[in-house]
Amino acid sequence: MINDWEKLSRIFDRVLTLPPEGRTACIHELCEGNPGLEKKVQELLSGLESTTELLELYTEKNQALLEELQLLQDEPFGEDAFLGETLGRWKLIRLLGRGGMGTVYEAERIDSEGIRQKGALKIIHKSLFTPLNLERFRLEQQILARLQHPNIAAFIDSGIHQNIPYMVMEFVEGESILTYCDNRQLSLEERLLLFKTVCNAIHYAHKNLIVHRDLKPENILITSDGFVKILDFGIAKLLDPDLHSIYKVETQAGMRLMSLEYASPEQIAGGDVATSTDLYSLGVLYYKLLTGLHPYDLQGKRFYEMEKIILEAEPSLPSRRYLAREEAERLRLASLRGVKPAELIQIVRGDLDAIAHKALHKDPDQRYVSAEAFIADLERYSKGLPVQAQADTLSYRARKFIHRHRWGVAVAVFIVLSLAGGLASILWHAQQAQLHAQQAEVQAEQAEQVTSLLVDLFQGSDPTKANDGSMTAREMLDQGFDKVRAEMGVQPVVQAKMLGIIGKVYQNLGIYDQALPALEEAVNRYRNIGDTSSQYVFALLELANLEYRRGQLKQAENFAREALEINLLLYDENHPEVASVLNTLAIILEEQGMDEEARNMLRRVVEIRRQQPEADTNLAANLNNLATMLLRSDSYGEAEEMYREAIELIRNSWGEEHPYMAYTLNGYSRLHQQRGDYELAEADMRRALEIGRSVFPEQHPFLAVVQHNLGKLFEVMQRYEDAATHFQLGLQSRRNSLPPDHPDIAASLDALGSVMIQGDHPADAEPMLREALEIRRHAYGDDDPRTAQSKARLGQALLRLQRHVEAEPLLMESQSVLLAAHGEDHVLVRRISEDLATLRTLATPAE
Amino acid sequence: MIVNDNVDITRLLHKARSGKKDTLDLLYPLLYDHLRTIAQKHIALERNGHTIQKTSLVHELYLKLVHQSEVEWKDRVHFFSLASRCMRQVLVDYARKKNAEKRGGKNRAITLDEDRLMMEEHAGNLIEINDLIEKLAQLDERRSKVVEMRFFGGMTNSEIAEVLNVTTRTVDRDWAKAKLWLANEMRNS
Repeated sequence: MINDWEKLSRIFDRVLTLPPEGRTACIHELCEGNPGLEKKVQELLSGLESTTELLELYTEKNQALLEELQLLQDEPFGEDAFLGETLGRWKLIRLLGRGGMGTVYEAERIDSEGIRQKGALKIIHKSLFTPLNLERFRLEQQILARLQHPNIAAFIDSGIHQNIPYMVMEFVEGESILTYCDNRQLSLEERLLLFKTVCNAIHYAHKNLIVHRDLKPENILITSDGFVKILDFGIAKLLDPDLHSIYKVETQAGMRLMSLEYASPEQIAGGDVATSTDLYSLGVLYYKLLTGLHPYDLQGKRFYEMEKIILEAEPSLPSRRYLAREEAERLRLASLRGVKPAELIQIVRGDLDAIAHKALHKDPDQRYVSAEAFIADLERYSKGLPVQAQADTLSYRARKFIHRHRWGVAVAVFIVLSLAGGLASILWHAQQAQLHAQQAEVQAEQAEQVTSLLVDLFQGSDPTKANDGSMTAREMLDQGFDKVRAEMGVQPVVQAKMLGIIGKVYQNLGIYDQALPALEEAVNRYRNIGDTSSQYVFALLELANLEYRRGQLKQAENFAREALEINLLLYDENHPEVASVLNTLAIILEEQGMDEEARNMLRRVVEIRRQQPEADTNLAANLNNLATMLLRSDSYGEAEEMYREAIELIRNSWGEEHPYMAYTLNGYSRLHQQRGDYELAEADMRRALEIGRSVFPEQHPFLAVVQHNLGKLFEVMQRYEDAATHFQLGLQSRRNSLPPDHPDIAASLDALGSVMIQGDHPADAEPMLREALEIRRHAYGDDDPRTAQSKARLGQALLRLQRHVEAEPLLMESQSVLLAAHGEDHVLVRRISEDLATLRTLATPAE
Repeated sequence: MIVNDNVDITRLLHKARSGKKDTLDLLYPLLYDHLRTIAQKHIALERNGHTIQKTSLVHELYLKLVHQSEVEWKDRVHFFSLASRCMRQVLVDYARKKNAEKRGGKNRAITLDEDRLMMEEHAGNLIEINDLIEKLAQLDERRSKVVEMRFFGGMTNSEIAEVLNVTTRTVDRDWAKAKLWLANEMRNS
């Protein structure tokens, strides 16, 4: 083995001096003719990072070990000092364990009638005691002694023996509730039943004004007979009555890492600890019982990172979090609950999700008011009644809606604010010049009307619909749209503005079939009243964006050009407003194949943005667009620089979770892909998907794009099944949000058909490719290379199905179009030639 | 009390660097005690809700014990390397003790003690790493030193370079290679 290492060592000596890019080739050379060795070198090198992480983790644990050592050194007595001794009337029989709080022994007492009683005796760590606390200890133990409940481990006795305080609790043998449920593969129903029993006991204690403060599965045992026993009630407070937070008791010796999982935000923040704290811990337990997962990803995080997450992050719904896990884990967790993954999701999604969400609310007042209320909601769920957790008020839902879709709504709100902001200066002008007075009033009134309409819109103020809790966010927006259209007594220009905003929000949410009428109406109204202000340009530009996204490129170009003309009248040619329009126009032109013009236009936009005195966040979007175009013309170096600058800008201005970050990573990933850095590509693409999922609603087209791109990446990597899965996901999402003849659907079908052929399922590919071909013919005509591509693929599928007569004309037709478009070196063109050659061989009768 | 220590330690450091074996024996117990005191302070800080700035214990120990003005840079890093060895000894001794307890079956896991379980596992890992560092010392003394100073002492590569009288780049490579070696060994075990 040492010999083996010597060989490896020589290789590493060479390899480690090289930059990462150059290593693969060098390893190959050094391991000449020894693939086993080469593989090993590669494996060790790629494991370097995880080894580093592991060692860092160990270093942290070293510290915890040192702390533990320190604690033990402080104990005035050895750990076994009390074994066999008698404290009060309790004889200590066996050491059960030792933790941050103190030491626990199994103890026994024999009363005057000779009856033996077992107990768990705890000797509390000396450092937690002061004379003042000893007095409190006496008082508290009386309160705890009153706590008599079959599911709470009884407080039996306590005392102070030679200045060493101890307490004795009922001796319980059992498993933690989570282990118990998993070991027996209890169903969700059975788990909830146990959970309700726990809630009942907690409720009893809360009525007696006792808060547990440290609820976690390890403190909730189930005996072999299936009895629930909650341990250590009120112990945390008994130990240290002055503490509000978890710190003093539980930062000892690494223990904090365990308990933080169940600690509520207010505990971490050091706020008041009340019954709502226990209710939060119950929420975490409930979450884990349902899914086996913690509401947050705390794995491997540092202490302060965990704190930050618990204080700030919104928990994912249980079903979502479950869905996001690896397939193997999903299977394992579901089978522990005796169901299939899909069934688990189906059960949890909806009411059970909502209950978790309520129980884990950051604001204690928004949680269940009591453990009893928690149970009541679970009862309502089992009976199929609407649960309280779902019946949040409409205004709460409106807030949530705005929060969830903050990028769409933020724009709308921003516009309102900028109208209101403009008001002050307009009024000032009004005072200066009488002439302007009238107009100022008009503007003020407009601003006010827009604001109040928007507020109404998002508060769902329609009295007939309010408060029944059944309205979705989409319905709220639809209702707002109807209302604006029907609104009487509003100035037409206000109506037009509102329609523009609503159209934009629809578009940002990816609801194109509603965005279109809203924006068209907005534009028409401006035209009717002869308004060609910047507001009109705003609506035009939105419409241009929309038509572009809907694939109506000519119309999109017309709207964008009209917007540009107006802006050039209103502003100087180096004005950012002009840049905005140019950006849109460039994208539309590129899509129509005018690459050169588009690139130059975007370079101009970037130039304008760079002239701005302050860093312009739009610059990030422009850079991303330009980089994407450069990528298509294979200018990787320049593209990479721009992607990086864009990512940096976005991170600095908005942080990681922003739609632009998702867009940019999507593009950057494709750069990696084209360079052959597949791992980087996959990582960035998955991150784009992750961000996309958190900032966009489910049906947003971007998510379909990313799925599609992941599919393409896996196709290149020859992982055909993964590719098919992602193309399929993209297709589904497109079918849900686009008209049935949309070219994007054809793109999905075409790609899916292609991997089906490569994965050797030509029969599955056929109907997909037929549909793709149909859509493309309709959208682009017969001579378009995209149409030809689908045609060629259909031909290939048929060839593999031995339907030669049908295949041949398709291959012939597509060959000429593709040859003209891509040249004879194109992969697809070459493949068609091969296929046609095969056909001819088959057609020639054997001689 | 600490003031007196300062004088002693600074003097002892000079001596230790000149290679007197018995000076090391004098330094160890001093360092050992102080390491424990600092660990205690860390706990107190965390209790008050402060998040600790991650300085290594040996750095803190140094700041506490030695007047910087009185000690040359060479002495400083030398001190770190001594403290690293000391830290290794302290931790491994304790880990062995824990392991022996576990094997003796003295503690059965009970609910209160998840933290203890975690620490027991770590004790096992620590002993494994320690054995590996010893094995590495047979193959390559310098690299084992690098691991000791990084892993137990939390020293930076440039500090280690100073102690070993080599360039930082060499230490970078030593550390990378040592990690590769450790990974290889851990996989084979």
